[in-house]
Amino acid sequence: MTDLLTVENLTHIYSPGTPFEKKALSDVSFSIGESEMTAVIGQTGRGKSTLIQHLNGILKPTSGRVLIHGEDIRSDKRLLRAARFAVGLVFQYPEYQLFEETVLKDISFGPKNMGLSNEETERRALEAAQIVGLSEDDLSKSPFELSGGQKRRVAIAGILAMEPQLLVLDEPTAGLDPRGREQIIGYIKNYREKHRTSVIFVTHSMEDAAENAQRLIVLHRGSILMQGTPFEVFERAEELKSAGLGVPKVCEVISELRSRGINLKTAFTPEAAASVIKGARARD
Amino acid sequence: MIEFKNVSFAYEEGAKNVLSDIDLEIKKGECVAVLGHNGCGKSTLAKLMNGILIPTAGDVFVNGLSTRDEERLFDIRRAAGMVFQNSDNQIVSSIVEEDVAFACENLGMESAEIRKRVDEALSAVDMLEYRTHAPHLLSGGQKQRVAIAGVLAMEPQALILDEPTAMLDPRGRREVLDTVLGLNREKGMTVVLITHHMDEAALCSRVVVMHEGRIALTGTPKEVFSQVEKMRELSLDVPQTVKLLYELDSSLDLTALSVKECADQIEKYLRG
Repeated sequence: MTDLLTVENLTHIYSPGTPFEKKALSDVSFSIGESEMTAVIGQTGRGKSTLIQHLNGILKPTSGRVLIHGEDIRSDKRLLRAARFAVGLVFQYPEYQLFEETVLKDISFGPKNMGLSNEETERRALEAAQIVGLSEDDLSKSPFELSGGQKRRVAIAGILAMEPQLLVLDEPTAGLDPRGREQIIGYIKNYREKHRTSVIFVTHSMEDAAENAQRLIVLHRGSILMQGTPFEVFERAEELKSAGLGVPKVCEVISELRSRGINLKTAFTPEAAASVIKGARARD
Repeated sequence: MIEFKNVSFAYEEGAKNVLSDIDLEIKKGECVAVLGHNGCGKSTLAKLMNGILIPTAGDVFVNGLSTRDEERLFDIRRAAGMVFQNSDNQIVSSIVEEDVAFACENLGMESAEIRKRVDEALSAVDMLEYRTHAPHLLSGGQKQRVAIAGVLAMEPQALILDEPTAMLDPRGRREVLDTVLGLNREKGMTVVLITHHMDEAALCSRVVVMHEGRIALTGTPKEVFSQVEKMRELSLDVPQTVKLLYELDSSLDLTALSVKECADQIEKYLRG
């Protein structure tokens, strides 16, 4: 079976042949399976945003390919258009992109553009609004009357309403407080469970990645430094740190304990670490 | 330095109070974090601190001057400088040093004095080498440091920062935080840091937790963060080190904020 999305040897150079030439991505390869939740981690300026703009064909690779269900999205125009609908992209601070007169119209913009019937458009828009916790009252409001957090939810609903096979979110929780972060992640998880959608989210937060993703892709200087399950990635905590990336505090506590001669398994959430430590106590 | 006496605030007459019965004293040289959800009133609290907003009831004093006294508002704002979340909204010039000089020029200072203050302010935030750069080409953390320098050039006694790191990546956050904490520790600058990052609050000398317009908790970071259940009730998080100990055994000493302190506790738990 072919994977939903495959990225093959992707390299992207901005302004090639000019004094501003900059290699943003270098030989990046990975694939995303059905209904997987993947986190892309890395510092600012390490190619994360460049990478996700390739996934639905906004940017053209300098070399390498992006495949959806095994077909190169640049091999013909029809596939490129299909990629725009198959891969739903939510940019950073998407609340600045709202423009319609009402919340409902804004959410409906995407599905309408896909050429869906009015009924289907409305059904999807209402469902998406409900998933992100917008009330019926909110739907007739102007998006500009809403709070920042609500606006962000409207923007995300607009992409969910397109029912993409792969949902890509660039720092969906940036600038939100802990409760807002938890809500947004919760909405995305609910949507994913319901539609079996694959999700890629870009984050700076190792804690968010550790708690929510099944797979991690760590970008460093435009290349993939490591990829795998959270367990596989955080086991290499020292390497992450020497690349200037943080690890969850819990991992640091575990490595500190190991350096004191206490043998503990890798854990990356407080709950998991607590059970690892309890296990170690029972063992002794 | 900054004192709230029984302060309440509503944005419009008859509207619901955003803040109620706030009593708070911030002493000279303190570094205080104000923690809470969006909408808990923490930004309103910040804006009351230098007279951007005036209390509906009660009084706010800065260096003993009431913010109600319009004639002294100028002195109050020079004493307590404000830095906002989005530095892009706060930067006005196309060259770093001109931006930092903006407020001093407005005050009609001698150019030699301006030169001196701008250089000092830029070195205090470690941005002197960027003085002739264009702000829009800087990173988020660098821009926020330029915004801080702009306030420092006014030589305030207190710096009030309203979520200065909310839009920054981990490295930018670190830069801004190190700058602010350094000003507090090395120059005795009074700092009020409005934030929703627990780990930032943990680095301050005192934490004030706001909830629904009131002060819900206050104390040292250890005193505040060890109250795991209370913090959960306020739907706030605690640092992972505390959470880990709490999950392990809620009767443990939960004041561990650093990795080392946390590891010490666990070692005791395992070997005890």
